[in-house]
Amino acid sequence: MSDVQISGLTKTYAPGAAPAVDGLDIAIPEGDLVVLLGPSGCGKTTLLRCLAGLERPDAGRISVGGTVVLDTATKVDVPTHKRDIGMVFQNYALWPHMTVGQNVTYPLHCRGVKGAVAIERARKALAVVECEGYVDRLPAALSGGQQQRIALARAMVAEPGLMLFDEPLSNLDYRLRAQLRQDIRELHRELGFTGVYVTHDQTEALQIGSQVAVMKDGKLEQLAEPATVFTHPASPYVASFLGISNAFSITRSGAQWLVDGEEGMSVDLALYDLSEVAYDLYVRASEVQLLVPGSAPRPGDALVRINGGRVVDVIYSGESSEWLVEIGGLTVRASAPARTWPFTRGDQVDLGFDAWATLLYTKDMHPSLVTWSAQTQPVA
Amino acid sequence: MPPDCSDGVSPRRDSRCLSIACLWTKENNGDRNWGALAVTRTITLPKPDGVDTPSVPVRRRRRVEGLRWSLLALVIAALVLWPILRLEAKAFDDGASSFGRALAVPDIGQVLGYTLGLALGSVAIAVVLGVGLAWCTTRLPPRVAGVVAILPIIPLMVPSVASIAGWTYLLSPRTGMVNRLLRSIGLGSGATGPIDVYTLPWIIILTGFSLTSFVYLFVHASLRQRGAELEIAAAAAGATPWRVFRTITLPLLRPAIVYSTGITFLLGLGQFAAPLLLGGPQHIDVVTTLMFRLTADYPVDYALGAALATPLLLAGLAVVLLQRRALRDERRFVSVAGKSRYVAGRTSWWALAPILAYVTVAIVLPVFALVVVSFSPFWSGRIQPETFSVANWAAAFADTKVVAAIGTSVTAIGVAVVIVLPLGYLAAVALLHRTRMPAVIRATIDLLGNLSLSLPAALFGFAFLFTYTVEPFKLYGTTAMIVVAYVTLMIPYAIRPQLSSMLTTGGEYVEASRASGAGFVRTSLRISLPMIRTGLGVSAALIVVMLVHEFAASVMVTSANTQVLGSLLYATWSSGTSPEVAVIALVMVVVTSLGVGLAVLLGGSKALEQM
Repeated sequence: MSDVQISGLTKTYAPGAAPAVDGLDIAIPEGDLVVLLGPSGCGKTTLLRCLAGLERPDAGRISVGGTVVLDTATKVDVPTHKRDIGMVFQNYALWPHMTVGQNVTYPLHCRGVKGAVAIERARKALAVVECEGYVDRLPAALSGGQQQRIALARAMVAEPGLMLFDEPLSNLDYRLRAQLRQDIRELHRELGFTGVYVTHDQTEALQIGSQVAVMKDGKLEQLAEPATVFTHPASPYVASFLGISNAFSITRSGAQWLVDGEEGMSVDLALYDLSEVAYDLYVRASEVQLLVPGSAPRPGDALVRINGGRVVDVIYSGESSEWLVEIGGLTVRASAPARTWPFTRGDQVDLGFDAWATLLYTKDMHPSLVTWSAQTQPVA
Repeated sequence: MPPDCSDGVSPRRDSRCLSIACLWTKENNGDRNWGALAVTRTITLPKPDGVDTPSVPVRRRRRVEGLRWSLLALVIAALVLWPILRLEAKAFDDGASSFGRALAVPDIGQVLGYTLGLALGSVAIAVVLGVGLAWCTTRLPPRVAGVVAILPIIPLMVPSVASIAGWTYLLSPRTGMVNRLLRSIGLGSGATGPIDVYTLPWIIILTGFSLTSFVYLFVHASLRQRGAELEIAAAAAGATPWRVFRTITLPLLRPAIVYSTGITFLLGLGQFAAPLLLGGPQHIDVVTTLMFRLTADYPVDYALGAALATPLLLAGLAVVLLQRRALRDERRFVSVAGKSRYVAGRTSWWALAPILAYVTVAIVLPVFALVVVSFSPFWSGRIQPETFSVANWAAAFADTKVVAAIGTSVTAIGVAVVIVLPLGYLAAVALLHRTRMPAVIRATIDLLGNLSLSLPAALFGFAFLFTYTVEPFKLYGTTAMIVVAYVTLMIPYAIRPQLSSMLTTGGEYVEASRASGAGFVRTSLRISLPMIRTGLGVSAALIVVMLVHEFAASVMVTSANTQVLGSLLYATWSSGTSPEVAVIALVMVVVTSLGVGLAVLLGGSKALEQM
């Protein structure tokens, strides 16, 4: 097990095209499982393939456990099979002509571990994923979930220095996905391997990762612990990728904060000391409250209020519901346990949310999150 | 595009299997897999429609439909089976005495030995080269992979007689360009050698080169369909490239290799052009050329020919059966269809070298030789650009025999295409499991529709000669005879591309159209036909290419007065000059290219890729 240092990694596929990975620096401490999260084309798969030695980066340096496996400056480029990695693929990639046992002993044989020792280690690895019974089966005879478990065993069996996961759960249905997520979490906790995990599923990222790296256009947008990424998305990009869909673009006008493009709509942030003249304001659906129009604010509430909304739809999905509220030209989502509010389609409502629960981003080239600290506390 | 774009896995991957490969694979027929199972597995066959309640009217309708399909089976049987059966019956006339006479043919042991040696030797060359080239294409940089992967198939588009003619100008002992070059740098001595193309080893080598494309087709289709993830997984597990090739690539290619070995072995056994054109000087005869020599006598000893043909027939049958056995455990070869993009591991420009070398040797050099010779006033082995002229070309096009041969070729091919395409369409519809018919009839159409692939064209030619020169046909010397021969030989090529087209378009598209409110006519015109357009184009192109190349049967069924290009080339080869031969060979190449171009127009640019 070992730490991973990536610096200045750049990979461009075609001359003139935007780089798929753009001068990336990441340090992964030993035992961390970093989840690369981002939409299609953000460069997460390319980064993984660079780590595996499947792509030849244009520039950069990668070391695993102190060993340099790639350095374009000194022309070091260790081929895939000598990188001491384990890899799990989206489509399992179990060799169909080999039995489960043969599949799992393969990495051991490649490393010179033979005979009974190899068989015993393979058996143990299969036991970890609870697939001991399938040793003599062919992969085709197993279900997708079983196949992926065996693929996990195959990747781990040789205890490689680095585990790579390429969207391993995308081919599974959602029940199996939840279960295997849990399995991978437990495996990581027990074995403590260093790993890189690619996914575009935020739930997966937050549950599995000890660190989550959100990528955008080949660059790192945010690298932090899952809770931090979720509570403090570093940029509007991260916020919207995490599904925070209520966004208001606001500009200071005298003592008021007006919502851009919405006649007469304002957000009451007068109590707060904000230095910029314009912000992007994000509010999670779960933070939005629906209020009876014109109802008096309860004393002591720091509710920011936007009046004049109309419920256009209520999406009921079992335990929770989502209210879609049209307000001006915007649609705002509010979610809460089902039947929290009595409002139905067509009802007039006001919106309210706590100022400190909003995410305020500066409007510049590199937006930054305004932290609700002492200086942004309500002015007494 | 970065590989990230393949996040979504398309459920029904566009099966861009190479269609020639599809011709021999029976993957689509569910129950009768003797094909290369891993070659084209992505096609999923829709289940037959729901169980219908057996009421009287339905049953009657089905009986009528069964009758119609039986008629189709009968037509195909009449074309394919009848001549072969008649010929074999002839062999067993007179208490099978013809077999005794066959064994008494001088040097018959040697002929059989040469036949087998040619087949085995050329297959060995073709399999090694074909697998190697296909593997190289997986290592190509993605930017060039698409185009370069087509290159090894191009030799299939050059008629084998044309490239053999080209080779003689390069390698004939006295006047071959390569031999002259070798002698000039001190290799070999005297006025001849060091290479003699008119010997068995060179017949084997050149045949091996031409069969390489077939092996490549199957193996490449299999590799492309499977994707590279299994190899990447092995590399990630720590296996060296050689180990990956040995333990993963090669075992997974087994079906494709077994299959293409069988096919090329049959093609090698039936090899006709190379031994006929190159074996003459040293009397190297194989079974097919021996049969051809029989047709020169009058009356033709059909019984003896039939007896000689019997081993080839049995070999064809045996190979088909062996392949079925060898590929029985199909589950081991079914692999998951990966992320649809073919993302190989490390790529290298070095992978380009063997492919370019093969293309140079297999096409560029022989065609270059043909061009040089066709512009030279006579052929001495020296390239003398100052003497180049178009005189040979002018003379050829002023020669009524050449013009007539082009006319006959074009007419016969055109008529054959018009007849065989609809026949192939009907057969393809019959083979779709969506169509209801008695299983026996489907099996019959399936078997007969592919029969001409497992038997040598020379054998068919001989059988056609026997069948259609007598009452009630009396077709000898007519274009009609050539058309009948061509239609019979081309049935498989008309069925397969159309069938795979129909299978990939799937029943859902038609159902979606019907659900949108379109009737049968609108659905056919707007959905079904446009969607199999590629299949039609590929079929047409394949047939044109195959027929321009067709040599063995053509030489058998044409008379001195009704020549096609292939037979004219042979006549000129026997009694004309080298430049005349070169001109005719190049005309064949040009007509082929026109056919391919036409197909691309018909079937869209995808047609070429699918060939």
